[in-house]
Amino acid sequence: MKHFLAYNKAMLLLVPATAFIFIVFVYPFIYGFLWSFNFLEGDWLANYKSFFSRGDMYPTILVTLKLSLPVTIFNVLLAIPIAFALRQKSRYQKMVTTILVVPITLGAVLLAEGMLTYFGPKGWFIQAIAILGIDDPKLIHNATGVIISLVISGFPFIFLLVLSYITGIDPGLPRAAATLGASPWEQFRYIYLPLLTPGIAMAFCLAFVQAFSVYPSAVLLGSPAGPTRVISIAAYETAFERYDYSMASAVAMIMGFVQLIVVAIVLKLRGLFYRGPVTGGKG
Amino acid sequence: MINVKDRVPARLWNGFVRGIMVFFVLNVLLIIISVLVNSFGKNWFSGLLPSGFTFDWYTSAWAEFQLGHILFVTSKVVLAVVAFSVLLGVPAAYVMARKNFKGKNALMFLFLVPMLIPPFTYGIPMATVMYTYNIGGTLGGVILANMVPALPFIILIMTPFIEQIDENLENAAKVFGAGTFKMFWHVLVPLLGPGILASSLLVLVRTISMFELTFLTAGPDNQTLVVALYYSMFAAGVRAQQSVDAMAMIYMLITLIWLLVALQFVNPTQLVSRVKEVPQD
Amino acid sequence: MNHDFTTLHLENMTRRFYNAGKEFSALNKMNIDIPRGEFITFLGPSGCGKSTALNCIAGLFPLSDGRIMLDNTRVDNLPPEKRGFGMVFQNYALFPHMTVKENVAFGLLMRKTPKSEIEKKVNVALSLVQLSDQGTKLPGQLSGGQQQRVAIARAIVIEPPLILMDEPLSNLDAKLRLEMRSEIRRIHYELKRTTIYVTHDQDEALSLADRIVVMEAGKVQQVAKPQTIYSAPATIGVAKFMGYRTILKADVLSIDGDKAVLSGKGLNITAKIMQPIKGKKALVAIRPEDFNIGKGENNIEANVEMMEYCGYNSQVTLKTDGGEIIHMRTPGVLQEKQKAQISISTERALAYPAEGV
Repeated sequence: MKHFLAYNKAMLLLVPATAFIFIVFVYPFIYGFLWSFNFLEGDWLANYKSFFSRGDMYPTILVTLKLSLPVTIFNVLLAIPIAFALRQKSRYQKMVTTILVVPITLGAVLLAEGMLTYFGPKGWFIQAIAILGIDDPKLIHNATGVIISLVISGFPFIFLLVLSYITGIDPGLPRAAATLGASPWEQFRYIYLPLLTPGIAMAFCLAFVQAFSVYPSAVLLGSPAGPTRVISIAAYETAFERYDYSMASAVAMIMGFVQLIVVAIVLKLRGLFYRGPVTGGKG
Repeated sequence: MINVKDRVPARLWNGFVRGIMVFFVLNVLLIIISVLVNSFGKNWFSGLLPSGFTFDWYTSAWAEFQLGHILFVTSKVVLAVVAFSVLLGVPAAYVMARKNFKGKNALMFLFLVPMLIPPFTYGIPMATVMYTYNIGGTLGGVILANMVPALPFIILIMTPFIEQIDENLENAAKVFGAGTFKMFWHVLVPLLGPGILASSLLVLVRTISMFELTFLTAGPDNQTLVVALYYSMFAAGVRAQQSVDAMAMIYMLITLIWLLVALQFVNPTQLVSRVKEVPQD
Repeated sequence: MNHDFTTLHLENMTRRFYNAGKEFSALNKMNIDIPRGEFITFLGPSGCGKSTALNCIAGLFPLSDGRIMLDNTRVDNLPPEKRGFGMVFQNYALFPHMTVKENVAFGLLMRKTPKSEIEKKVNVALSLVQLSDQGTKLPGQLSGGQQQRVAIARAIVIEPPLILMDEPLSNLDAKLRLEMRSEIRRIHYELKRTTIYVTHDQDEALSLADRIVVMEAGKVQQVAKPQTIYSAPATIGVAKFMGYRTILKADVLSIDGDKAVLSGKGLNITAKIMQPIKGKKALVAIRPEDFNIGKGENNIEANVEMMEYCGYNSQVTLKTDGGEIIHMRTPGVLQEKQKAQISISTERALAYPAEGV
C-alpha cells in the first residue's frame, strides 16, 4: 500500500478534472432528469403528458426533424465526393480546409447577420438572380433560411471530418486496387467507401445532433412562431420565459432522447453495412 | 488501362466538384463581405453598393452596445476558461497518457461525452441547476459552463500529445537527479509547451464563438460579444442594421485574428475533430 | 548524492505486480553481490526480468520485497534522483529540446555544480565519447551511433559509482553495434566504474562482461564468468539460450561419477553431468560446433537433410534414423540427402535432468 501511494500519487492529478465534469456536467444532467419527472408532485409523468398534448410542444419534434434530417443527409452526400476529390495533400486542399473552417468558427449568429443582408430584399444574391430574371424566392424568415444556414455550417463540419478519415486511409490500398484493375470509381466503391463507413456514420451523428439542437438561426433566420419553431426554442421559452424549470428539463430530456434514437438507428444501419474493424481512419 | 472514354467522365466529375466548391465558398465570402460593406455604408437602399461610406457606425455601435464593457467581459471569460481548462486538463491528460487503471476507458468516454452532445441539449438542465444554486447569470457561471466542453477538449488533444513523449525522458531526468518539480520544469514544460499552446488557442477560438452556453447562463451584465450580438439582432429595428453590422465586424475580426493565430500551430481539421495528428513544434 | 561503495548487494530483490487479479513475479528473489569496478551483464530472453531488475536498481520501479545495499547503506527506499547512478536507456532518452552539451550537463545542473566546472566536465565527457565538435547540435541532428555516445557521456559525466545500461545497442545496425561494443568496454576500463549491462544478445554479454547473470522467468539461473556460461551452462534453460541447439531426449542407463551413460532413440551417448540427475530420463545438450565429422567417442549416424553455406563454415541439419534432429556447424563438407558419420566427445555432450521429472 505504501508503494502504491508513493508511486501512484500521480493519480491525484486526475481528481480535479473528473470532479469538475461530475459536478458541472453529470450532476445537472441527473438533476434535470429527475426534475423532469416532477417527483415532488403527484403525477410523475405530468410534464411528459403535457408535452405530448400541447400544440406548441409536441409538433416541435417533427419540425426539428424535418429541418435537421434532410439537411444532414444532404450535407453528407455532398461532403463525401468533395472530400474524396480533395484527398491528395496539396496547397489546394490546405486552402479549401482553411476557408471552410471560417464559417464554422464564426458561428451561426454571425452567419445569420450576413445572410439577413445578403439574401435580404436588397441583397446581392437577390440582385444577382434578378439579372437572370428570377424573382426574390424569399430565402429568409422561413424554413429555407434555416436550411441554408444549416448547410453553410454543417457541410464544412462534415467535410473536414470525412477528409480527416479519408487521409487516414493507407494510400497503398487504392494503389493496390489500381494494379488489380480498379478504376477510380471502383477504388472508391470497393476500397474507400467500406473503410469510410464508420467515419461517415460518426460524422453523420455528430452533424445531426448539432442540427437538431439548432437555435440562433431558427430564431434569427426562420419564423420562430411557426414553421421553424424547433424544440430548442420550446425548451428555452419554457425555462427562461415561463421559468418552468421542471417542464424545461422534460423538453431537454425529450430532445436528448430523440437525438439518441436517431444516432442508435444510424449506428445500427452501419452495423448492417460494415463488418470490418471499428476504426476506419485516424478518428 | 487508361483510355479516353474513362477520362471524360472523370474530368466532368472534377469540374462538377470544383464548381460546387467555388459556388459554396463564393457565397460564404459574399455573405461575410456584405456585413463588411454594410457596416461602412451610409445608406444602402438599392444598387450594388451603399451610397457612401462612413466610419460612424463603429463609433455609435461602440457607445450604444457598451462594446468596451462587453469586450472586457469576453476577455475575462475567455482567459479564465483557457487558464482553468489547461490547469485542470493537462494534469488529467498526463495521467490518461501515462497510467493504466481500472475504468480508464469509461473515464475517457465521460470526457468525450460533453464534446459529442450539442451544448443546447445539456445546457438547459445545466443552466436551470445553476440558476437554482444562484450562480446562473454570474460571471463564474458563464466560465463554468464554457469549461464543460473546453476541459475535455484540452484532455482529448493533450493525451495523445503526451503519449508520444517518451516516458524514459522523465525517467532519465529522475535518474540524473531531478526531483518531481525540476523534472516538470526542465523536461515536461518545454516538451508540452507546443501542445499546450495549440490546444489553448483552439479553446480560445471556440470559447469566443461559443454562443449557446453563454446565452443560457449569462445575465445582462456578463454577456460575451457573440451573445450581445445575438441580442442586438434579436431586437432588430431598435438599432440601425449598420450599427449591428459594425458590431458583427468587430466580433468577426477578433475571431478571425485568433483563428489565424491558431492555424499557425494546428491543422484546420483539429477545430472540429479529435485527430491524432500532433501539432508540429 | 554519489555514494561510492566497495560492494553492491542485491538481497532477495523481488518485484511483483498484479494483472487481471493475478499476481506475477517479474523478478523473484535476486541475490547477487557486485564488487566495485566489475562489468556485469544481465542476460536473458525478453520478459525474463532483466530490465525489471535494472529499473529496480535505478529506482524507477519499487521493490515488492528485498533490499538494495551499497555496502551498509540501504538505497532501495530512495527515489531515483537521490541514488546518484548513471543510466543509459535503450532508446537513449535524450532530451529533444536541449543541445548535446545541455543534455550532458543536465545531471551536473541538478547537482548544482558551478558553471565553470560543468563546462570543463562536459568537455571531458564529450571528448571521451569523441563528440567534442557536436556540442551545439540538437539530438535530432545526430546519427543513432552519435546519440548513443551522447547518452553514454550524459551518464558518465556525473561520475556515478554505478552505471546502468538497458540494452543500449539494440537500436543500432550490426556494424555500429560492434564498434560501440568496443567503445563501451574501453570507457568502462578507462573510468574503472561499476557497470550493470542488460542485454538479450549472448555475443554482447560474452564479449563485454566480467561476469554474466543469466535469467529466466524472473529467476537467476546462473552467475559466472563468460567462459563458464559458454562451456558449462548450469541448467538446460541456460544451455538452450547459449546456443546449444541440439537437445536429445534419453533414458539413463547408468551413472559413473560425473558421467552418465544414456540411450536415446537409436543412440547411445556418454555425457558429462551438469546438474544432478535423479530420475530415469535426461536431456543432452550439444553445441553445433562441437560435433566432429568421422568417428570419435560417441558415434552418430544420421542423414544430411540440409546444408547452408555460411562463409568459413556451414550449418548442417541432420536427422537420425530415430527421428532426432541434429544441428551442426562444420568447416567440412557433407553431401545433402546422404548418410553421414559424425561424433561428439563426452566432455562436450552435457547431460541435464529432463524437465518436469
